Amino acid sequence: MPSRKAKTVKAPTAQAKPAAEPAPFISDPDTLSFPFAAYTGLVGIHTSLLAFTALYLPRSSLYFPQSLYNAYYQVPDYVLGLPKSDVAGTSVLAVLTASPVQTLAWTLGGVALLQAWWGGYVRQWALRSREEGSQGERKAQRQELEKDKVAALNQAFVTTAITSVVFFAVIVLFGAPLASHLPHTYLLSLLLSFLAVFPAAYTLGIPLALRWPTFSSWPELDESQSTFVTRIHWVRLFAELSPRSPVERALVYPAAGTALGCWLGAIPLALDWDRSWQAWPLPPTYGALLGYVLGSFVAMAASAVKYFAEMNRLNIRLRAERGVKEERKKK
Amino acid sequence: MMLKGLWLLIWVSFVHLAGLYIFIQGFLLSRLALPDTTECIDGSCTIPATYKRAVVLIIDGLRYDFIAPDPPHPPSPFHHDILTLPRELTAANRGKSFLFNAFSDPPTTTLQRIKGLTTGSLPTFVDMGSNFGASSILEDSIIQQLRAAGKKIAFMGDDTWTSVFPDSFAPNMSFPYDSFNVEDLHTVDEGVIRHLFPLLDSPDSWDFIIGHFLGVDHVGHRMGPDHPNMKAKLAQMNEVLSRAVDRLDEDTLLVLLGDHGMDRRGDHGGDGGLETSSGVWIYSKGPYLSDPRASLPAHLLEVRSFPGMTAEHRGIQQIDLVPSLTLLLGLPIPYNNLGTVIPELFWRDGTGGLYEQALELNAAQIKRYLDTYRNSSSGGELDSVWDDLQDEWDSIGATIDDERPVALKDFSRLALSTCRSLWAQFSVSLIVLGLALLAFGVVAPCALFIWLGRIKDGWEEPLDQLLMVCLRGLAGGCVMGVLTYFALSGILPEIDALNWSLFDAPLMSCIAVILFTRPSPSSALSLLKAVPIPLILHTLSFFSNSFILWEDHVVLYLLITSLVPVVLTGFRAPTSRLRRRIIGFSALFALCVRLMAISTVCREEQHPYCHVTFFSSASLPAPPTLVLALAIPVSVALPWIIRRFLIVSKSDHGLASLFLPWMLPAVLLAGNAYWLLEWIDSAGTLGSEWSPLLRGIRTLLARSAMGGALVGGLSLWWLIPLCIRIDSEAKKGQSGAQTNGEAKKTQVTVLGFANAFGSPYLIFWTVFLGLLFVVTQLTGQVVLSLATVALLAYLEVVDSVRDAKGLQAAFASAKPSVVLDLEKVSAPLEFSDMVPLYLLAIHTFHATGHQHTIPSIQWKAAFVLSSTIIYPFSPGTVALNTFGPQFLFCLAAPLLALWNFAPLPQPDASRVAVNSSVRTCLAVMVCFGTLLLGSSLSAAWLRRHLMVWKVFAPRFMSAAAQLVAVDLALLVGYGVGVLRNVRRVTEVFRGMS
Repeated sequence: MPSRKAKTVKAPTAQAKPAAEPAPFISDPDTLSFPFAAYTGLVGIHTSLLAFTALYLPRSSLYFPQSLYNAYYQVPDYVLGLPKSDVAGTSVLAVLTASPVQTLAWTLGGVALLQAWWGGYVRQWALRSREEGSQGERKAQRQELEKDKVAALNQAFVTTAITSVVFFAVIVLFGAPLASHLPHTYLLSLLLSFLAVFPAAYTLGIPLALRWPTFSSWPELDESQSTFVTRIHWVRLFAELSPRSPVERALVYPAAGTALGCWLGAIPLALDWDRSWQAWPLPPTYGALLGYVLGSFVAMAASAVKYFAEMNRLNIRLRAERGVKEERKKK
Repeated sequence: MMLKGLWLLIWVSFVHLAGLYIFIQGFLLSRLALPDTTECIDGSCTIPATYKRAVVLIIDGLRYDFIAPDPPHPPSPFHHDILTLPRELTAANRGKSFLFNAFSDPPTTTLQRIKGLTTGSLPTFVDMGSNFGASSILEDSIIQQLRAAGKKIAFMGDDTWTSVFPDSFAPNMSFPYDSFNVEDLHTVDEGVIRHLFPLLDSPDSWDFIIGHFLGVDHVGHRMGPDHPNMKAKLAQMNEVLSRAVDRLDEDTLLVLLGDHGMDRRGDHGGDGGLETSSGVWIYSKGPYLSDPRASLPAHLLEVRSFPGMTAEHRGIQQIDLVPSLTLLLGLPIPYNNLGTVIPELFWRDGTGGLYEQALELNAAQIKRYLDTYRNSSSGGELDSVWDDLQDEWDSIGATIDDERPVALKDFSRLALSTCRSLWAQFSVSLIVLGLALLAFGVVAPCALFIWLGRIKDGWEEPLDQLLMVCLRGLAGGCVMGVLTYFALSGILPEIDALNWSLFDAPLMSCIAVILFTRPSPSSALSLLKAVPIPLILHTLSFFSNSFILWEDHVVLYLLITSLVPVVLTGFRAPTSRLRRRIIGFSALFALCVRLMAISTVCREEQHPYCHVTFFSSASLPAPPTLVLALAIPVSVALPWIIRRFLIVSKSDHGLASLFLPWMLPAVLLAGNAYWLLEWIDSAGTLGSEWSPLLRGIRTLLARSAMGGALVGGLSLWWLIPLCIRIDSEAKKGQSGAQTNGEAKKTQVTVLGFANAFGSPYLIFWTVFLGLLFVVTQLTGQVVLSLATVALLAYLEVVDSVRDAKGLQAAFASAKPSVVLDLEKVSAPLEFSDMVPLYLLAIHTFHATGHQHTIPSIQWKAAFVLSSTIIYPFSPGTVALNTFGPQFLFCLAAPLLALWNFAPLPQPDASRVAVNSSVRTCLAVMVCFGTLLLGSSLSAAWLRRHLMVWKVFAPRFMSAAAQLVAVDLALLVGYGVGVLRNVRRVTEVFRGMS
């Protein structure tokens, strides 16, 4: 075991060294060309809107007339019976936990809209980083890709729907009830799918595709080169968890945060505290949302650190070159 | 060379056992049994007898609601409003007949209750284990007092009585019946009835009758309280009682009681509300016990509620019967009694003068007992509470008239409650020593695991040195133990020289081993990197009662979690074959595991979020219909599936081709047939005249299946060692060779070569699968089959993951050409590979209808091999049924090292195989050692927690028993399975390189 381990540990450094020696002028062009200001602002907006979605949207009808609201929500009697001052304190929890399915449905609606909006930006950044050539050529490429937008969005929604079924199976494997609470579990898996899969599917394309060569034959896996490349890309991001550019980080970290948050969220379910918020699937749902938000921040921080490191390296390089030039001049 | 590995494992097991032994001494309760008896020739310690004679009838498992005046809502048609005589007579005879809801101290097992009922003392937790082999009572008791007064005692019923009071009953009036044949509902009861009535008709020949009926309890265990048989049984009891009441004369007191209750499924043993609520009925045909016109002061009458009943009922402690009964018969109260006289039985006039007199005697007796205990060698236990007791006692003197009975009663109740909490007394120093050893029992095998991984090839000489060092450590520790004893006996008197030696010897050898193996910082770091998160979380979960209650779900969750890294590796695997295999088999594994989780017997505390699926319902211990339909098809399919897995590596020849198609299905089907017949028998579909025949067939089936598997299977495995087929084929040499005169060459094909180590070990393993299968109930059998498929899938997963990691490492290394030599690229065994296996073991334990509680023990398994209790087979089959899953799946640990491990080149391959088998065993020991450490730490830390006897201590005991089972499994697996296999493989392949 040690001998092999040592090899794997050494390997990356061995590869990194030759890369560092001849040092291209900019080692990570993606990082430097990335629109950081816009990204930071959008992450701020996106996460706060997500928080709003999670905490306010499910009780948005508080702003509707009370009777309509009661008819819809079946607020537990004890909430209505409480004095006004207490209601202010308990109502957030009481309303959010009164009907987990409704809470989840509202959250899901908000998250779906937000992810579609956010995914659009991520996709744009990803496409820009792939552009090549002169200003004019870039513009042409951009217009070409804009045309695909609707198709890509469509594909992303379909992928999200399919992965939600996979997530459903996984959640059940983890121990979610089989005989009851099916809508609860499915809504959670759809939510996870929107959080973790949708932006990636919209940005990167889909890793697996089925083809029906003829109408009556069995579907077979699409082994075309483009899906193969996309698949490799997905595997590097989501199985190896090694994103390389800010865009990739903005996809991977929140997704990992979502999974981890959801996983950790299951832990309080077992506690015998008898709290309304322990109802399935609220803790994993909020865990996933929190994980997503934290993941977004971590992605931003990681990319920022990377960015400053690159800037610094660039500065050193420039200074060194200037020094060389001056020396030459002196000679 | 190979035996040394066995010595290593034996040594680690020894460290475990030593730690466990020391910890248990400090943790599990003990109470000193005082041999003193109450003696007073002048009669100053009793009151004049109210009765000459008494008849005590015990209906085992008579819960309070069976005789209660208003049964809980909704009433059950099977056990409520059937045994109605007590409440009818109580309603009609005020002052002569009384019903009580009596609290029987846990553990609610018959032996402990008999001890409590006769001595008036509290049981301790350790007694529990001795229920199977009852030992005689040495303390003062009613029986002893009766004998001292020259009274004649007649006895009939449960033979536990004759084992605890061997020569106390009049020889011609003692009729014991075997108590552990749960399947026999009537013999004991009919015996009691046969002998009871002739005695009642001749009242001069006896003074005291004990009649102990077992039918109600057996119906409860066998069919649950909601079964027509329960109704029939209770109706029979009602009829017996009314006949007995008719024949009673005026000088005889009748006491009817249940020694304990039963839970919703009809079992007992724990401290649940239903188990501790037993019924008591006291009936006097002659004199009034309390003045029918008097009303007793309410503060003297304690009340207890019963689950489901709206009103509270008059409640007593079951041991209150001891002082009450002895005083009513004019006898002294037994010396160790902690019960308090029942007011209703002594309230002969308006003021309760007699009651006060009885209470004075009672309190004086308790005080005398406490004083004696205080002066005994265990008197230190009372240190912390003595002042309170003394204050309470002194305050009695200060009271006047009316307050005095209350003060006396308060004193005796305080004594009871103090003693109850006290005999949960722990020896902290022993606990700490035990925990320290258990911790070393985790660290030392960890160090060995790393060390063996490091020295891989040339491990024989270092191992020699290591064992020598270890031996020196043990010897040095023994000496040091004696020295420590002399040095510290002043400070820690409760630890004797043996305990010190048992502590120091393993400790010193552990330290010596750890120093010898010298885990380098880098290897420690690499271990830290590979820290198995599920194992850590599982261990931490023992510190919260919620997670222990829901451990079945927690284990499933962790088990699937432990698969996540594997699946991620699967996605990154370099070849599509590996990708398909890893992901496919992982999915199969996860699916099997999830399906297993459907089967559960819920813990009492999981109610209402859990539904029993192991049985057809919570109160009917019969298999569900689906299982009845699936049992036989599953047994037919399982051997075929195992064979399918072997075909992957073409190793279904030799031993496998004999064992899998013939032997295994026979054993499995016999296991099915046994439990199907058991189901037919207990459902009563065929009528009782079929019972003996069915029982005979069942015994025969079980004996031949288990005997056949053990003797036949193992000898077959021993004789035909490998699952390979060697074809030799004469082949024409090349033309060039021909000209040289070498006419022919022989080509040898070895089928099953790649899995030569793994496949015979799997067959060895299935022998034990067969054994466990027979003692497991039908639902459990289906679960075991699923678990076996999961295990096989996991073996393939690990094999492929190691290949994938090996390939990746090879690509990343300086010489990617290593890849071309595909046999060698498999990555070495990692600790985290063991985690799903150990979780699968515990998961199977849960899914086969077990929980970490005493009532969930499946006592039916005691009667697999015989219709009555036979030592040691009956306890053995229960132990196999309970901890068999852990035993079985840890027995499979070496498979992870041996599966698809090619036996060439010799002898290196064998050496590596042995090395990694030892490492798998050590890793599993680390896993279960860690669990035991966690559970014992939590039990010790939370020893004053409300839930300690309900949740933490049972979990600890389960972890302890399971560690012993696992250590045993690994010793058998390595010492018999691995060694034999490797020897034969080495012999066969020696010549081929």
